[in-house]
Amino acid sequence: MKIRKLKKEDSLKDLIELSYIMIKDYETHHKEFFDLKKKFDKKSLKQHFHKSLENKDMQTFVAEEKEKIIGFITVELRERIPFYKIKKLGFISSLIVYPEHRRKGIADKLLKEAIKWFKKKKAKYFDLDTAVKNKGALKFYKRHKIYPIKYKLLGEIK
Amino acid sequence: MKIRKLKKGDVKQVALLRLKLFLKWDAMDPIDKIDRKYFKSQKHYAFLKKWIADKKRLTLVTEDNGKITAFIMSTITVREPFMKTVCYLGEIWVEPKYRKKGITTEFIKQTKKWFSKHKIKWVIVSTHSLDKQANKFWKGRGFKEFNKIYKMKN
Repeated sequence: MKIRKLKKEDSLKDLIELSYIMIKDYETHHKEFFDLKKKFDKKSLKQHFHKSLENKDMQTFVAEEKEKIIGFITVELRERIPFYKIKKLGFISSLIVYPEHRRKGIADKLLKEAIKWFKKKKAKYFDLDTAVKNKGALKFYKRHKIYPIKYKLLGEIK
Repeated sequence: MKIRKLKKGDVKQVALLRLKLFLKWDAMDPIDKIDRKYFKSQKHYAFLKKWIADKKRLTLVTEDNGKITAFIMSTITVREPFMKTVCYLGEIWVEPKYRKKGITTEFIKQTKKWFSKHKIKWVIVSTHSLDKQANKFWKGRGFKEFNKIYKMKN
């Protein structure tokens, strides 16, 4: 298994399939947010990956095994509101590995590559969002000494 | 106390109240350190004026003898088509002298009415993990923690 940057010539088939798994997984934790009668838009997912190829402040790293992409991480540099002294923050927008390839340290390797990229981009801090119900992810980030700093709370308008 | 929408003539006062709010977060986290000068700049005033004109945003204020004493800012966000539209209750500040008078409760009530008018069912607030007061406040109003935002120093 090797970790490398996404290339223009890569087929996006596995990345789109992995994105679906990630979104469905996310949906199980956030039923309130989804309107799954509406189909996932393949075109916008493709555009997202193409954007990460063209934009120097975005990058997708893939885990490849036997010429098949089995996981990926997407990272970016995000501009903050102008009054913050730290002008840009790193952001992990997605991290997913096929279920059958989990518990092999692939996500660890992808995260390591992301951190390397943030350092190269001189991003002193990075952030990411995780569902409170996603116990596996909470454990994963704790193991990597990444701790929650902000909470998002959800209220229903009755 | 009367609650009304933010007007162009209020922006300098609200800009200073925003500074107080962001200084609270500035003290909590090195990541959120701010440049104080921005809050008294034309750029900031222009930002607030633009906010007034935006139909997807709402800012309410309270006034006492021409002095703005509190504000609340909210936004409706449109996301991917398979995701429902949600709204963010972004910023609330009440001057210390005017606290414990029910201003925040009334602010939330009126903002929720505005959200309902836009057929929005879910509202999100973001709090710092160290801000015990804010976390207690929102949880006491039926809000439930659903997402954690992680930050890591590189």
